[in-house]
Amino acid sequence: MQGTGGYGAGGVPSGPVQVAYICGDCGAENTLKPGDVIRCRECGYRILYKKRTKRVVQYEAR
Amino acid sequence: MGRTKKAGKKEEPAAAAAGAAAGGAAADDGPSTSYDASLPATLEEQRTRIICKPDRNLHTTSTIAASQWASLGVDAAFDLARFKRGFDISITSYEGDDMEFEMKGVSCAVANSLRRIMISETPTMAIEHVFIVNNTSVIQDEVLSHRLGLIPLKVDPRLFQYKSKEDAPSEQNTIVLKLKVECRRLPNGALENDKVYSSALQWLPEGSEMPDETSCRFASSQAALVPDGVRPVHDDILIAKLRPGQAIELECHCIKGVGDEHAKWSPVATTWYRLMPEVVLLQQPRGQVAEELAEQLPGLLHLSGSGDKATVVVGDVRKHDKLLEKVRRLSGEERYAPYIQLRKIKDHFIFTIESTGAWRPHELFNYAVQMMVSKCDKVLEGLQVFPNRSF
Amino acid sequence: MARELVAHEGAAAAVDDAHEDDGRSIVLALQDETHTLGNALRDVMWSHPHVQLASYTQEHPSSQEILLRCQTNGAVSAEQGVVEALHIMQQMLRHMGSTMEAAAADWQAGQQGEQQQRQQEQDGGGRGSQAADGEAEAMEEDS
Repeated sequence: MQGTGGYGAGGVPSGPVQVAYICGDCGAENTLKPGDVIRCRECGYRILYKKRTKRVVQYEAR
Repeated sequence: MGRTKKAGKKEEPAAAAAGAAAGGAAADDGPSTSYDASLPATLEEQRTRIICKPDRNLHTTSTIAASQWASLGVDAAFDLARFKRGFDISITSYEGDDMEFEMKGVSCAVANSLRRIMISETPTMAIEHVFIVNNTSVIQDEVLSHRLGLIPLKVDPRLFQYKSKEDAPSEQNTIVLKLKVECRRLPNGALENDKVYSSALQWLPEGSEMPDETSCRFASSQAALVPDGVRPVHDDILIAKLRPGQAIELECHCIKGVGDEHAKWSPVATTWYRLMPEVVLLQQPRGQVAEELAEQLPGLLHLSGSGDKATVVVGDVRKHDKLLEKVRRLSGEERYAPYIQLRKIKDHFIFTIESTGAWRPHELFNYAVQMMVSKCDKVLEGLQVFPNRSF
Repeated sequence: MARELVAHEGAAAAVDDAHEDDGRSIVLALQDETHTLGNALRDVMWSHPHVQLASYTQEHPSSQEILLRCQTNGAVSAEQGVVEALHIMQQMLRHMGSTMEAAAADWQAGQQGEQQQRQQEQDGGGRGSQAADGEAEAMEEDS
């Protein structure tokens, strides 16, 4: 399967695109390809979170 | 709770109180602001008391023109000596950040101004900008920032300057706090940092650790400027909950502000006052009626004697707050109306100040007084100077 | 200690004293003031012996100024009436401030006195029971 429509596949895809996710329960890092079952490899939990931007974000405390 | 003490002020000479004139028992010796030539009892009562009828309150106004009773030969003009004689503050309880005091002999317009200033014009320091490096918790950045802003900080705002939008952050106008926590599961299965409390906020006296992102650079350390350090008033405010692997890393930049701009800067949880109540016997109830009244108002009315000789005495009104509205209701019933009445003393305030912790309550009061004085000064600046006082 | 609010220069500007009344009436626009000053000042102005009318209005809740009106009996100008009312208010406030300071100092002294007394009771012959000691400590903590 080609990762043409996958998130983060901005450039020329060279093979399936891999994205790292954080498990919502145990916090383990999971790398998924398009089409993979959404499931933590460590604990089997089915909610995975996309990683956050590395940039600092500023908010007003109001 | 509830220990009371008179702040050793001298007792004021008893005034020609309206309560006494009506032959009832007054809750206190009344305001000592009576005029040199005394008013007729009915007018004095209207001047100093609000009469609480079951369906309406009477004589609620308190502003009095100097010439109001000129035709009676009574001069109501302001007199500083009389004001000083009548004015008194006595603290009734002062525990931690809460103070309750009684203030008498001043108009409610002035008391209200002080209350307003304490709530909305007295400064504190509060978190205003949050720079989030990482937040993988389930609580959103915006919500987290808002929660951080509301945490009261124990630091004297007088040590800092206001920072306008154009001002660059510096050690004179900004406090930097850091929050860096990560939750993990310990070998024994327990969770570490699964709850983030306000105690996790660390003060950075040297300023921001990421000046490129925050454009906040201190010329020198704040440690000397703020010898007592900066910390939240309460260490146990829950900011967020974390699951293993979730982390929060951020920097909070605090600035000085007032409650008018945002409630997070208000130095009080709230501050309020109410008028001193007074229960008056319009005439002494005897026998059956006296026994009924004493039964209806236990503690507030003490029965003395029995049978046809039974009479009542009014007890401590302040200790029976919950019965006062009942007095109001009873005073509307045909059977009791001739005997009992609820009144409020117009210039006797039971004032409560609940500080959030940055200020001592009595300092807040004095700040409000100072603020009011300088408001007057600002207006005076734009007006002529009159060297001779007209009265 | 007042916060320096921008645009407060010329705090009071006469808006309407055009008609001929020998200065017996005046309307002042007070920039950046609200009911906080307006109502208290109005109240004090009424107690001035030569002031016949005092009132103020904030014409709209969003407006940043109040209008203050003063009318006198002619013994003094309206402007002088306002100025003297401001001085009266300052005198009152200063007395209120010092009274609060004295009351707070008295309260503190009273607290210390109580604490010393408790100390003496503990140190002296009347050594209280364990429970009583615990109670005394708890009292100290919350004071």
